[in-house]
Amino acid sequence: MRCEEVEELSGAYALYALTPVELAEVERHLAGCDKHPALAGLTSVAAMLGLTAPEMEPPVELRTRLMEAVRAGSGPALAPSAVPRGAILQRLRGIVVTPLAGYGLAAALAVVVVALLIARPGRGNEAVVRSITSGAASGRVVYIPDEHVTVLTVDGLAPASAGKTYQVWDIRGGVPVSIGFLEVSADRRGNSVMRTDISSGEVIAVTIEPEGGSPLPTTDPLFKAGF
Amino acid sequence: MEILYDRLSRQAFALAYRILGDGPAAEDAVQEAFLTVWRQAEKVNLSRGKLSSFVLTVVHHKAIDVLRARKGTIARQVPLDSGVFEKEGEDVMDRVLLTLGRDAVRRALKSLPEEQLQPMQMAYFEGMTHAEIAETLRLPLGTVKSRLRLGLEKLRTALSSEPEAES
Repeated sequence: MRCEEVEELSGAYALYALTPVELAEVERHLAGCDKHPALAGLTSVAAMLGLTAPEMEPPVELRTRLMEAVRAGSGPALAPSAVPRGAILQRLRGIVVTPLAGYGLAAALAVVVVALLIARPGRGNEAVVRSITSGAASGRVVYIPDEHVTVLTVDGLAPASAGKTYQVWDIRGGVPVSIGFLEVSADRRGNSVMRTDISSGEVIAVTIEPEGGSPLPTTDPLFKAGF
Repeated sequence: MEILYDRLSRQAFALAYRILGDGPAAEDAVQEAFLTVWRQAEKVNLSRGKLSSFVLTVVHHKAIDVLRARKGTIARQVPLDSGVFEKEGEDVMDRVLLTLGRDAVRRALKSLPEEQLQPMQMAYFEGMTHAEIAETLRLPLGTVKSRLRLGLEKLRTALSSEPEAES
């Protein structure tokens, strides 16, 4: 399919009014051609039509069913080390549109998370927050049971030296399990969003490890937060 | 996921219900759509407005697929990719949701010529393909293609020229 043909079909494409064959051809073309930015915009314009349907409350059972399906694994298969950090950050960022710019996303994130949960009274389990300090560095570990997510933010921590990385552990019954890495930027701020559940008695710890991480901690923890 | 659902489920359900006309089918479409979005969560990197557009578009596609299946036509096999919205520059949905308000969309739609609005609605809410619209309206296929494109472009222009709602 040529660019001109794709442009000709752009309205029908955005409105989902192509046959499956035409749709496949347009999408194949778009995957290899970046000359159609306006077409991408038309799809968002078409979504405007969806806003004209007056809002309706779906049955409560739908929410329950959906969340059960997600928890049962219909969602993405995520290894603890393969955390959708950007997606979760984006999702959290997307909810709060207040001007947090300048405050720093890492530092703002814990505030955002807590604010979100406070803003949803009576809904599920509340976030569990632990403060952490190590020398001049300090931060927080926020566990959000409903989201199965733990957010770690630090401030005042030097970036890991060359060939090293900060690794995050969930110590369960004395056994450390790697749950992710902590990235620290030049402004000495860092954050990490990890998909994990934390039970009572567990400890979240951060150690310095060789780049790429270690199967088990090889240094003493810089930070520890008991739950 | 819960946060996303709580923010968009009412609009999503309303859209699916408007297209399908019955609750259980609308519920199924919404559930499938949110699961589709969730399965792409690792790579979705969209602003709030674009994320809303993505979710509503997936819900729309799911509902239309069901509608077409009822008519015996084939649904698409591959879910919509969120990357479509990453290529977009301006975030129309952001502007509508955050500053203009939904009435602006209704006003903008009313400003469209009927000859463009009608085929857009036949496509969006009735799930008709451009060829089916051309046949129903007894118009050349090229004319319908043009009207669908021009209608959306005019809608975009109308929304761009809307003054921001006073807060």
